[in-house]
Amino acid sequence: MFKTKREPLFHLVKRIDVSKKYAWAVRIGAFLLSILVCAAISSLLTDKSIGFFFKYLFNGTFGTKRTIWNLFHETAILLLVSIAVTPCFKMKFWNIGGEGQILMGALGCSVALVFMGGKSSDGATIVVSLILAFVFGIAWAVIPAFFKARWNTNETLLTLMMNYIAVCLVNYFIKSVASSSTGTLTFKDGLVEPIGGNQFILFIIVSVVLTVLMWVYLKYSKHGYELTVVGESENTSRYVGINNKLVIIRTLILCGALCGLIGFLLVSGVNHSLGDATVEGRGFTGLLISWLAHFNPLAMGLTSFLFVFIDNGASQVSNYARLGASYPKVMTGIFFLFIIATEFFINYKIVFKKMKLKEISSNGDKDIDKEVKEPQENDIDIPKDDNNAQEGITEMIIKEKI
Amino acid sequence: MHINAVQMVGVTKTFGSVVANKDVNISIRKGEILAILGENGSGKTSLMNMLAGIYFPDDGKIFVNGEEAIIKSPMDAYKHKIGMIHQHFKLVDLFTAGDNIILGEEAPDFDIKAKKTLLKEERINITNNKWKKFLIDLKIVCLPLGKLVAKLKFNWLSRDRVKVVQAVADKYGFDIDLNKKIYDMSVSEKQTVEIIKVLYRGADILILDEPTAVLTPQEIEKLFVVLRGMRDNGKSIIIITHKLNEVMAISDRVSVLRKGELIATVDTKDTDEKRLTEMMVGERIELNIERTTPKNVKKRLSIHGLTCRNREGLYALNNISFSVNSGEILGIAGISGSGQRELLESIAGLQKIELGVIQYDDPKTEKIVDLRAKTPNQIKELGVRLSFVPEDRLGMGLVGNMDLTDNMMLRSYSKGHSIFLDRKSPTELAQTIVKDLEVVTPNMKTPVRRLSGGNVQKILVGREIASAPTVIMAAYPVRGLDINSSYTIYNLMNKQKENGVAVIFVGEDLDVLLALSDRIMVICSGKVSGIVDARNTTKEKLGMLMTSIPEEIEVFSEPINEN
Repeated sequence: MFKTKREPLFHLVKRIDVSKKYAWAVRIGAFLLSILVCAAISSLLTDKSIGFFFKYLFNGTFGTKRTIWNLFHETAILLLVSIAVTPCFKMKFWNIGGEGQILMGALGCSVALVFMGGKSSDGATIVVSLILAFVFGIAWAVIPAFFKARWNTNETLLTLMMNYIAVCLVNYFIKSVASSSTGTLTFKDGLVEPIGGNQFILFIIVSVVLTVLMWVYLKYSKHGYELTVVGESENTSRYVGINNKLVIIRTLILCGALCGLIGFLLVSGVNHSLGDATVEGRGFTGLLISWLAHFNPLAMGLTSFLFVFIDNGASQVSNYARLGASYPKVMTGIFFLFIIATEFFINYKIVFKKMKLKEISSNGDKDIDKEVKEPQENDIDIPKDDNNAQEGITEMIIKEKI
Repeated sequence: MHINAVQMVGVTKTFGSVVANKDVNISIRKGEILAILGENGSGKTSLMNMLAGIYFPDDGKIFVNGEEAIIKSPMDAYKHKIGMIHQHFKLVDLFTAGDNIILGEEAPDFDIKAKKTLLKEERINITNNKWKKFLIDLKIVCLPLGKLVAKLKFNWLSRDRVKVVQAVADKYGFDIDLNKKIYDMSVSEKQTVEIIKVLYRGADILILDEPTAVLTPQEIEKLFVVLRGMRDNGKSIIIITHKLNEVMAISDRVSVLRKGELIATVDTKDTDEKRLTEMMVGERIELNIERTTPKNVKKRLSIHGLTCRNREGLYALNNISFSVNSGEILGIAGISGSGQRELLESIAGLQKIELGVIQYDDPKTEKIVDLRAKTPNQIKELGVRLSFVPEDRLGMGLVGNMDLTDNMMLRSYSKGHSIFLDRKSPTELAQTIVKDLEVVTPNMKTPVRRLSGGNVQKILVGREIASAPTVIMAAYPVRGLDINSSYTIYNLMNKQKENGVAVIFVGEDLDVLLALSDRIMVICSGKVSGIVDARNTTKEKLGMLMTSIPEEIEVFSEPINEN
């Protein structure tokens, strides 16, 4: 019956001061680890070496001139989407309707292209399609904002549901304009000409400029300050005399305008077509990117680049290893899982039993109150099941979070 | 030699780089009341949280009744008969008191055999009633079903536990209705529920975290009687507090903590308040509030018949009338939640008013300005320099995640026509406040939520004073602050008063209100129950006014000096 007393194997301690260096080191480490895990899984699935994975991962991203341009182009689109939703998130307005807002912008642009394309001059068509894209995008963002400001409705549900309305509207529009089409409309006239013959460069320029502007807006402008205060505490903003309703609606107008612009660029500059899959789910990926970068526009550049890197590279790997269309999704899923898990390691420290013992022995002798006879550690046996330990830990997490 | 109910040996706990407790040795004997005394942030609560299983110590050992105990969760603490009553009650509002007490308790094992023999014995005693015999047979057959139900933890089976709870309450002389819902209860009743809960779970060691902070003097006396009764029943009681008079009144021994370390443990009868203060603060300090007689008293704010409702649609303020003068401090006393918050927020333009008049006498233009139904911005535009230190510092007055400069900017950022922020003057203001008020901060970029309560309050009060106000309203400005910081705030308020500012000070410590204010207005459930001269009144009288409204309401007004 000699059992040593069981101390919990480890317990969690919240880190109070997390240095930025440490946080970034953990994140970059997680990225590298996620690539390694991706490589391991791929080689298990294909009986090919890990080198095969890395070869085509880089081949698909930095292999040819075209793949490099494509990498940056995709990054720019994703970055612009995350930039567009960032002011809402910074205000803690959980706008998950980026997808729908962009799609509405695309619809607005298409409306102009259908009715003006080839009939009036290209310049006029472009201007009108841009304006319509803005109007449609803003409308889709302002409706939930108005409801939130006026009746305090739940913005998450409202913006999510409006995505589906947008998809239906686009399908309805396509059917009513070209009833025999296969679900996409293609355009030939009134489109934005590629700059210098390179169809990729427009998006890259726009997204770099807007990223910097958004960074300045959030950090140095009065509007950016106001929306941060509203997001942090509505009571404080009321207390200092900020008009919460106005700020919410104003910010969502900005967000809608940016989404409309993306819709316009996608239709007029890149795809030259409209379908219900024009946005390709980037509206949702973009908000994840924004979250992971902690709403910092500059960090979003890096995060979206890494995402596109894995996505494009994995597509190439799956092409050569015949792994199917879902393979890149699995790989990006692994990437997100790792990056999200880092938040735990950044905020908590795991203290193991062994580490503790080491610390104690290095501390040397301890003065123990003479009043107590030190009990024999070995002859007490308190059985404790693991459930209990789990409970203790979760309890601790909850308490310390508070 | 005494038997130690609990002994903590060399206990250390750190949070990041902050050391909450360092090598603390503390013991409590059976049948005594131990007071743990210390300023805020001295590690009293975190020490006790380790005993209650909320934190796990980084180092050190805990012995319960002489045996080492590993306390990983509150459940473990209950197993060792340790129960803690937290400062913020952890009760479900919609449940009754009885339900709250039995909530989370493991159902006792359903023992089929014991119940069977019990029923069989009963059956033997019945001889001539066939129907009753049949019923008992049926009960025996159904016993496995009962076991299943108990296993599924259907709560209705444990309803009869409420009877056991009632027995516990009666034993210690608690007067409480266990069928009352928590939301119908006063703060002291809720506390009673928490105490009964801990006793019902069989705790022999009770930890009370600042139990008197929310009670009136009369309720405190009642609590102390109960605590003494429990001590005489052989329970060990640990009471965390920073109020010296209570330590002297209730405890047998005192352990003093300072900055996470144990300074000393002394017998209460061998010490006095002065020595305890020195141990607690670490230096000899003068604890005097210098109250000057008001000079240049002129009417600044007058409020008539102010009435408003809270979110639930109940009257939070009911026909409140009073006036505030320049160069005086008007203290506001009352049980927390009697309408203090709504009163200050109405004046600041944050609360919708149903009825009433709020008038401001502008000292510059000598005109009367109507402040009723104005937004904070409109009040600012009218040239009324009103400063408000709200009760909820980080939830209303400041933004916890922002740094000092950005918090300074809250009041001033909208000045000027530029679309960009001017961070220069707020940075200067932040530096001045840090220097003048001795704010302890790692650097200017630290988010304010990381600072201690006292420092946060200094920043807030500093910012509010910086705008050269004519009226300052402060709601519980020293709540949770240590002695030194509290006195800094008192002195700041006094200085503002001498500068001719009208100060409204909502407080909870009656001793402080009596020493600081010129007049004290007592409010009781949204009504004025008296305005008294702070120099000629007693704590007991205030306590009476806080709990009941007298038939004739006394209104004392400062002689107004028209020169």
